[in-house]
Amino acid sequence: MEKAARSLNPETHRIQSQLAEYCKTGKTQEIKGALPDRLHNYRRLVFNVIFDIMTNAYPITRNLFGDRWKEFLQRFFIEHKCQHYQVWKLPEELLIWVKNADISEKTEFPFLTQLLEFEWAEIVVYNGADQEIPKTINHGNWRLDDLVFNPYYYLINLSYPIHKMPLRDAQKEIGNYCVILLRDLKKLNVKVLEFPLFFGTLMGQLNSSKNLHLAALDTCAMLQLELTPEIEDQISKWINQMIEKGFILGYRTTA
Amino acid sequence: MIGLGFRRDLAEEMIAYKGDAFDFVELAPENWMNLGGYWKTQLDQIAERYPIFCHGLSLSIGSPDKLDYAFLKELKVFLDRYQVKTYSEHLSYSKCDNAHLYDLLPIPFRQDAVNHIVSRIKEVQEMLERPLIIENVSYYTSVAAEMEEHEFISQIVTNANCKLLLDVNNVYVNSFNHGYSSKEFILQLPLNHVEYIHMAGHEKISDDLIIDTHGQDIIDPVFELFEWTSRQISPVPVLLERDFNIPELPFLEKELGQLKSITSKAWKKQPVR
Repeated sequence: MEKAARSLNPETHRIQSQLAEYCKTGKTQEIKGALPDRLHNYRRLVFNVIFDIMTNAYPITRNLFGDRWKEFLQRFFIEHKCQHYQVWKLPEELLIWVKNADISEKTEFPFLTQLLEFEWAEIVVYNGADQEIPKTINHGNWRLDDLVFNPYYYLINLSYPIHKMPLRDAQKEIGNYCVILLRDLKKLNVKVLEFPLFFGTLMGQLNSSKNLHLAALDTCAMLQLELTPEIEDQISKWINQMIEKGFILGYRTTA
Repeated sequence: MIGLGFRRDLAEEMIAYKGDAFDFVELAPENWMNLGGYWKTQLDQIAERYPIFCHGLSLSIGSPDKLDYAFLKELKVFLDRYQVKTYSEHLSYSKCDNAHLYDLLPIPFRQDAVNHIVSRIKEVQEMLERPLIIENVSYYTSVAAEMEEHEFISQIVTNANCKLLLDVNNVYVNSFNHGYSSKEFILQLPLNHVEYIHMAGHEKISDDLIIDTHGQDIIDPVFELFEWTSRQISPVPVLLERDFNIPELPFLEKELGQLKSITSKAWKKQPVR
């Protein structure tokens, strides 16, 4: 009884759906009691929000598309039901839509998914919720002690080096690039680091139940290498470099 | 109390501001929830200096869809964290059939919509453990209306026993767009429920249509309507909204000063609610 009293009449629901659908698709339909010459304002205002948020989130992609950017976003907005209540998170839905629909394959931009992910990664790293960071000391033994990594990073494997050269050049340099976008804990901006394949794979192997030594063993196995003293030495040097760059914060301590 | 919208374009200036043109700041929680890094530090700094009022965007109180309980949970955490007592939302819908539209669509002025919204407001208030203040929105066409706008708003506010955010600019915009008297409209509202006022600029895009942009200065007729309105009600906080074409703070100080001057004349010695 209470539920029935709470629900909208089917007709009211249908009218609200019609208006929302018109705003999404622009397909004209008569909406009861609405002024037809005013409805387009809603479609324009709704789409402006989508256009602005995507253009701010994806400036490089927007330049790539040029005049076709608006059409591309219109297609996204028509085909996709936007899910996030925080509009700044909506750009991730464009990335997922492009990935799932294999849009990259259907455009002349085979690197489109990677470009979108690279641009989205910057937003995630810049805006990501703050986390408690454990206490650290500068010295330790990486084989035994836990390293503390800067938690605000996004690891991305690129086959086009879009992080370091213009798009038209990147298309000619297909390879395997391990890139990390990292929040600078003092300046709070985002910087980009590129790793050799070994360290990119090593990062991919790290997780909460695996320390660096175990991850190094797994990485060597994956790359069909032996964990030799030379490689261990390289890892030590890399750790020191990463401490300098702020990717590794130090060795965990309880003191 | 006069407030100013806390926008990213103005954040640094507002944090560094030394004057007394505004007493509180208002922000859209959805634009600041779950953020870390630079913007979190900006938010924390402004929160140290001013009381925070929140004006939501995504509650979609008039939606045919179910309330988003996960959102409400996160919202409550945010409101508690920043000790927000004043949380308001638009009397509109922005989500329908499981898709967000991120703008304010007009709800049909109908009895079943009133009942639907009243029960949702009560539920939201219960979940958030604080009052919900509902704002009259601007609209460019009514949709399938079976009652007048003022009846629709009044019934919702009185039946839900919630508070009303009276957006004076929206009343002006609607009275122009739909050809009614703004003062008569205001007098038909439950003015004893008014808890908060919004003021903003708009853009006239044709001879018969104004769009509520929050991107221009407040025009004199809206200031005049505000002055008249303030004499009809008890003192409440007043906010200057500016979302686009945001000028430097000294320019906004002038508008804030005008609002302060009007309220001090109209509400001489009466305490703000």
